[in-house]
Formats: sequence, structure tokens, C-alpha cells
Amino acid sequence: MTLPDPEDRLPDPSETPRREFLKAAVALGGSAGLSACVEAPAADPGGAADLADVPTGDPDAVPDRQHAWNEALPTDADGNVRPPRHHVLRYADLGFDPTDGDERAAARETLREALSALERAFAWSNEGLLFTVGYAPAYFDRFDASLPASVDLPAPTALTEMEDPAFDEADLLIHLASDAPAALLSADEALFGDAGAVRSGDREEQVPNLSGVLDPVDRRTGFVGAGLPREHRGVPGLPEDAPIPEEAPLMMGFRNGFRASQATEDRVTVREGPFSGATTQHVAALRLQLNAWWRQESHAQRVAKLFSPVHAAEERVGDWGEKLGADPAVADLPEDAVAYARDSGVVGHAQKAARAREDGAPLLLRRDFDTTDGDHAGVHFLTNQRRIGEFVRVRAAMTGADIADETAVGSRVNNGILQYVFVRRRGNYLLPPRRHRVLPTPTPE
Amino acid sequence: MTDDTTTEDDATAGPRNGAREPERRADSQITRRRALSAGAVCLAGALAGCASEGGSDRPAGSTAEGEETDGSGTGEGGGPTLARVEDPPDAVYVPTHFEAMRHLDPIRAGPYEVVPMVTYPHAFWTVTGETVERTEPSGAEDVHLMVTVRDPETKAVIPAETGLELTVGRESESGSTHVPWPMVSQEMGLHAGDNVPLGEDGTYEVTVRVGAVDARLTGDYAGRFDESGTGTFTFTFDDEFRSEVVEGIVYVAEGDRGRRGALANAMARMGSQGAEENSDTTEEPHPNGVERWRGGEAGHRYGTYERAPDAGDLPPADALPGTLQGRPVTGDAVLATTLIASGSRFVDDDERYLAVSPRTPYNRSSLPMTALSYEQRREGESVSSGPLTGTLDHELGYHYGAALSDARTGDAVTLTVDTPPQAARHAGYQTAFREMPPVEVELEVPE
Ligand code: HEM
Repeated sequence: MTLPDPEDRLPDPSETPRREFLKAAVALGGSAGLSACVEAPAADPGGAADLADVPTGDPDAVPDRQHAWNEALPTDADGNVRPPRHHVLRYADLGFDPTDGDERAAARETLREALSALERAFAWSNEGLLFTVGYAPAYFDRFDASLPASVDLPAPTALTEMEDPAFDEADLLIHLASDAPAALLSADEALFGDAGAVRSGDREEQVPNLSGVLDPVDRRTGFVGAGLPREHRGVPGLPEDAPIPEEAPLMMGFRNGFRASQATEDRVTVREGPFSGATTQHVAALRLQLNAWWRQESHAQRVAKLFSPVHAAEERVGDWGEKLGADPAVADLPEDAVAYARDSGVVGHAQKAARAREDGAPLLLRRDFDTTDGDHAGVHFLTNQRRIGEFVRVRAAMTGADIADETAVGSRVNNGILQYVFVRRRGNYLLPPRRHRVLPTPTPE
Repeated sequence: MTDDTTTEDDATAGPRNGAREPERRADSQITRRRALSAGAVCLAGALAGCASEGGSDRPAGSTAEGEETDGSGTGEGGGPTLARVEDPPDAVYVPTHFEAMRHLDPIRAGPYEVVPMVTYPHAFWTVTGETVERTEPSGAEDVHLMVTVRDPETKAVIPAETGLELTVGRESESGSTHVPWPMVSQEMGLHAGDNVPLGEDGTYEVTVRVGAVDARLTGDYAGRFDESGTGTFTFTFDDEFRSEVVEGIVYVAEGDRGRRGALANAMARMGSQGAEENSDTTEEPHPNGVERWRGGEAGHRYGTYERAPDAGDLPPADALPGTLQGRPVTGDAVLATTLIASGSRFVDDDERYLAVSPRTPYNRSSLPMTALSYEQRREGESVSSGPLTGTLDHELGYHYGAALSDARTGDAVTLTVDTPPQAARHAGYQTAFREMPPVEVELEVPE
């Protein structure tokens, strides 16, 4: 990914609301983004403005599961977990030969030290820094041994007839997330720039340089949270005048991630084998085109397509999902979605996806966030699940080909939100448990 | 169904004066685009503010100020004139005008042929289940972009929902993807279209992705249209384009607006498919009860013309293969129903095939995205029942079918519309095909 000239990208801080400015700084990244962010005046309601206010961390307090974020995150008034507001995805290839024992040992030492420096510098929370390190099937393919059967990690493929995605095959993906853009960028710069250290509170931690260990391949960014999507109106795909409620965390104008519709962290955890405590991660780069969503559909149509026609008819949702509490109750709709759709002519996204639940329990822990990468509205659709195969199943339920075949519902039109979402890239990863998170072999001891 | 906006017809403030009165045309020859959108294209204006024919979203009299509602006055800026149909019937009716559009050269997209058309943004109605909602151009959209998907060999319209995507951007830039609405219009028949924002004047590139056809494929179509295909076309967005599509608008005679009938399909003018014009040989009332009548304006025809047998999305009812069982009308749609003898390609050897082909009256356009089911009864007892499956066949066209294993003359077959056609509608179709009560045919089974 080529970084544009900073002058091109950063708005004038004196004329830009701080929140918007910080988001631009996260998207820009690098030392320019970091210093812009640290120097920007006034506090973002979401996170500490100044590194001096970011809480410091304790590696002993970090859980063994890399995906154990829920306990470290705040909940809203209804008990739903509120995700970190700012995100960076760093794709990287190995900068050494992992089959050479000495090179690998040295690289492991460097990366281990870098990650613990981050843990010491930043509290494991939305106010500090949450991160995961994931490994692609392409990474494990470098070894002679193969992954144990307890890990289901196929190479990414197209999952519907409607997409021709590119595949992310970089060796590894580091996901950094925080409410505090300064913390996020400082970690990002220490790992992939030449900052050499991270600072928070009154602490400064040296971070060994990762060049030679990891070669950066791509950097993607995003955001989720009340107020943020509104500020991006005007980017292609998101109309300037989109009436997104201030409280809505997503560009489509609603909240998601209700507790009852999310898998628990236990449910997405690999239970057996050397990687017990791991999870798999799927990351899809989606583009959004919300012109018709915001300019042609009514609120009732949007509710019908995102939740269900019943939600629209009974006005269950409210303006942005505030009436739903912790349970959108999409699973208690009629089980026979085809019969339902023959009658209604339209099916809701969440309603379709909920068909893939197992014994009533959702299979995916969705941690997606919006983006304007590539100067276009989009979503980094990031999920955790025990097996990639479970994601594939849920995605098939969301595609609803059976419904399109047998009803008046189209393959995209009136079929949930498929009219608005376009898959551009897919990638699969394993997030090993923390004890194996540094350059593991397929069969760690 | 809910729709509070359909008591009036499209008031698209057509620049009637621009089109017809030379001294006004000078006014509408505006050289800068934004000026155009304020004046002549109240095009767009017609579109955005003025065109709000839906009574509910416009303060009474705000746009039709001091005008007759029949469109004889002039709008502001010397441009648009408002015209709208008050109280259209719950049926197909003649709207106020013919749209003008730029037809671009057909392109190939895998196994499909795609015919692109571009015009000014305009209002249309989306259908979500039972709800029909009017959608106005927002003012930010620059064109109404349309494509029709055809069989490259026969040029027959592939009248099924095809999962289309249009990726629109400046030449050589990556563009933004829109899913156009499957739509029916009297002039265009079934196509897919959307109002799309562009930006500056210039050349735009559109990459069309045709997905797999959302239907069972039979006959020559089996195996031909079950994969996706991609192709690209370009068009120029500039003053010349805008003037062309605005000035080409042709108004229907005042007394004919709102009458039951339709604008003749554009194919009648284009002379493609070997059909120079729609035929109008019959004087019998239409199966929907409408007396035959004809009108015309500046080479454009409207009324109750039937399309020529070899033109259009679908064969005429009496040209369908098999034995025609009837052409019952519901919601002003004609459900042409035929029974195909055993031994056909559609079903197992000894079964007969019941095929129902819903079409618009007069123009015979396909009405896809409908859910239909049937029940066959004999002496009051149910013999068989079930859903009819959306199927695309090279002879029958797009239809809904089921196997009948035991069909006898005199059996009653009830056809039920579970979901009315979900294709979006242009003016003149938005009040039809909505309330669609069940209809019945009595089987006539040849020996
Ligand atoms: C633009 C993208 C998307 C938006 C705005 C969106 C939004 C939503 C919303 C508002 C809900 C309601 C309930 C909740 O989140 O708790 C939901 C549920 C869900 N979505 Fe999405 N979604 C998107 C994409 C996807 C994708 C790509 C998948 C992939 C399979 C997916 C899978 C699910 C699942 C599994 C549920 C929960 C169903 C249940 O209750 O069991 N979503 N989504």
C-alpha cells in the first residue's frame, strides 16, 4: 500500500473536529500521523489524547487467549460489548527463512520482545491497546509438518457466486485496536516504523526493530463507534447527506454486535491439540455502496433488509437499534425462511445469518469495523470462529441462495444487505494462544 | 399494500418547452453543467424538487404554483413544465411522457450481451414485499444508468433477475459498484437501472458483471447462462448528453394521460428484432377489459398496442408452446398459462408441465421476482398443489412451472400470487401488479 503525501491526507486541525482529525491521523499512520495525533489539541471523548494519559500495562495480566478481549472492553447500558474505536491491520511477510533454525530463533526473540514491550507499555484494554497476531495458511505451508486436525485453516477461497475476491496471502496479520489513536499509532510505529520505543503514562519501553523479521505488505485501518461514520460522509459510497444517527456506530446507520447474536469467546476457541486456546480469524475486505441505501430506501426498508420484515412491521428496532437491548431476537423468526420469504418478498440479513446457529448459539464472534481505505466506504469484516468451515457455513446462510431460488427475493435485491456489500478480498488466519503467538511451527511443543 | 404516494402520476417536470419551442430551447442550451441542473434539468430539478409528483412529500402547490396540473404552464427558469396524472387507476396507465435516452452499443459480458442506456436521473418506485415506495433523485445523482441483458444469439431479453453489478468510475480509475434495481418500464421493458452519482463532466467507464441467472434453465439455455460474465462500456457525460436526453422528451397528449393503456415499447421505434412497429390488428377488448385505442405524438405511439409477436421479452400467449389454458388477469398482469404434453424436456416422461408466464398487458414485458403457487382441484378435492418454480427457457421465455402427474380436462387450477412482482417500476406501472387476488383456469387436456 502506498502512503500518500501526508499533506494530501491530513485535514487542517484548526478547521476539523478533533475526532475527525484523529481518524485521519490513524488512516495516515507513520510518524506524521503519530505526531499529528499527539499534538492535536483537546480530548477525543473515546480515548486519551495524550500518551501520558494512556494507562500502562502488565504482561502478567494479559490472558492466554489472544482473542480474549471482551473482559477488557466496556459494555453499553444493555450489556453489549463495545469494540475499540480505532483499528489498524498490518499484513507482513517473513523477512527471514523460517526453516533455518538460527534465523528463526533470532527472529522469535526479536518479535517476542517487541510484543512484550507493547504489553508493558499499554494496558490490555480499550484505553490502552488490544492486539492479536495471526498466521495465514501460507505461513504454515512453509514448514514440512502440517497443522493438527484440531485446527481448521484452509486457504481463502471465493465463498459465493457473486464475488471474485483477491486473497490475502501474507504470512501474518497483526491487528491493533484502541480507543486512543495515539496509543495505536505509537505501537504501529514502533513495530513497523523506526520509533524504536513506545511511551505511555510515565513509562518508555524500548521496542526492537522488526525489519529483517517482518516485511510489511499492507496496512489497513478502520473505525467503529458512535459519531465516527457520520464524519466520513462524502467519501465515495457514503452520501454526504446520509442521515446516519449520531449514536450509530456503523455507516449503515445501526448498531450491531448484540450479545445474544454474538458467539462467546469460549464458543470460538479451539479446544484440543497443541493450539488449544487458539481461534481462527477470517478477514474480508468489503466495499459498501450506500447511495441507494440512504437515498432510495426508507427507514422501514432498511430495517427489513438488515434485521427482518417483522422487525420493520412491528417497529422493533428504533432509529439505530436502541430498542433491541442485548438481543435483536432474529432467531425466533419462522424457521422455514423460504416459506417466510415467499410470503414477505424480502428477507433480513441478520435473520438469514441466524439460520446457521448451532443449538441456538451463534458461531461467529464478529469484530468488524468500517473503513475508508482506498478512499471508498467499506468494512473490514473480521470474525473469530473455532473453525473456518463455520464461517463458510454462516456466509452461505447469509447468501441465501436457497431463498433466491425459490422465492421472489433476488440474488442481491431484497436479499438482506447484499445489494450494498461487495467482497474484494478474503484472508484466513490462526490466532494461536499467547504462549505460541510468536512464529510457531505447525506442531508447537 | 402501503403507498401513500401513488395518487398522482409522475410530474416529471419535463422541459417540454425546451423540447418543443425553439425560443425556449435557447434558454435551455446552458453551457455549464450546474447551471443546467438548476434550469433545464430541473431535469434533475424535475427530478429532485419539482418532479416530486408524490403529493405527500411536497407542500401543496409549491411546485405546481399557479399552473394547471396538466402541464401547460411553465416552470421556473423557463425550463420545466409540470405535468402529472391525478388519481391514476390501479392498473397500467399511460404516463405523461416518453423519456429520451442515449442508447450505447451492445457489449459482451461472458455468455451474455448487455445493452447499455443512459438518461437523466428520474423517479421510480421500489418494491419491498408489499410496500411500493417512490424514490426521487436526490440531486446528487447525475445519470440514470440502465442495462438490458440479452441472449447474444437470438437477441431475446433474458428476463430473469441476473444479479447485476455496475462498477462506475472515470476511465482507468477503480470506480464504485452499484447493484441496479431490476425494473420494468413501458418503454424499456425489463431492465436494470439506478440513479448514479458521477461527478465532473468527462468519459466514464462502466464494468458490468452479470451474475448467474436466478432461475432454473431449460432447453437451449440449460448450461448456457449459469455462470457470470464481465464486460465494459464507456459513455460521455457532458452538456451534449444532457441536452440530448432532456430535449428528446416527448409528451403524451393531455387527454390521454392516465388512461388505461401504455407507451409502446421503445423496440417499436428502434426496429430491432425485425419488428418495425407494434402490431394492432385486433379490435377485441384486451383480456383485462380495456377497449382498444391508439394515440401518438411525434412518432411515439401509445394506447393498447400489442407488441409484434417476434418482439419483446415473451411470446404472445397464443404463441406459447403447448395448449393455452387461459390468460387470466390479476392486478392488471396477464398470467398466460399453458399446459405442455408429457414427454417434454421440463419434467419426467409421463408428467405434464404447467407453465405460467406473467406479463405486463400490451407490451408483454416479463415480471420476474414474483412468487406463484398453484392448486389443482377435481370435484372440489385437492389433487395437487405447490410452488411454481422460476424457469428460463428459450421457447417459453421466463415463466413459473410445475409438473402435473395427473391432469384431466375440467380440473380447476387456482394460481396464487404469494409475492407480487418485486421489480422496481417506472411511472405507469407503479399502481399495477400489487393487489393480485388468486385466479383460476379450467384445464383443457388434449388427448
Ligand atoms: C456491511 C456489512 C454488515 C453489516 C452492516 C452487518 C450488520 C449486522 C447487524 C446489524 C446484525 C444484527 C445483530 C447483531 O449484530 O448483533 C448482524 C448480525 C449478523 N451478521 Fe452481519 N453485517 C454485515 C456483514 C456480515 C457478514 C459479511 C457476515 C458473514 C457471515 C455477517 C454475519 C452476521 C451474523 C452471523 C449475525 C448474527 C446472526 C445471529 O443472531 O445469529 N454479517 N449483522
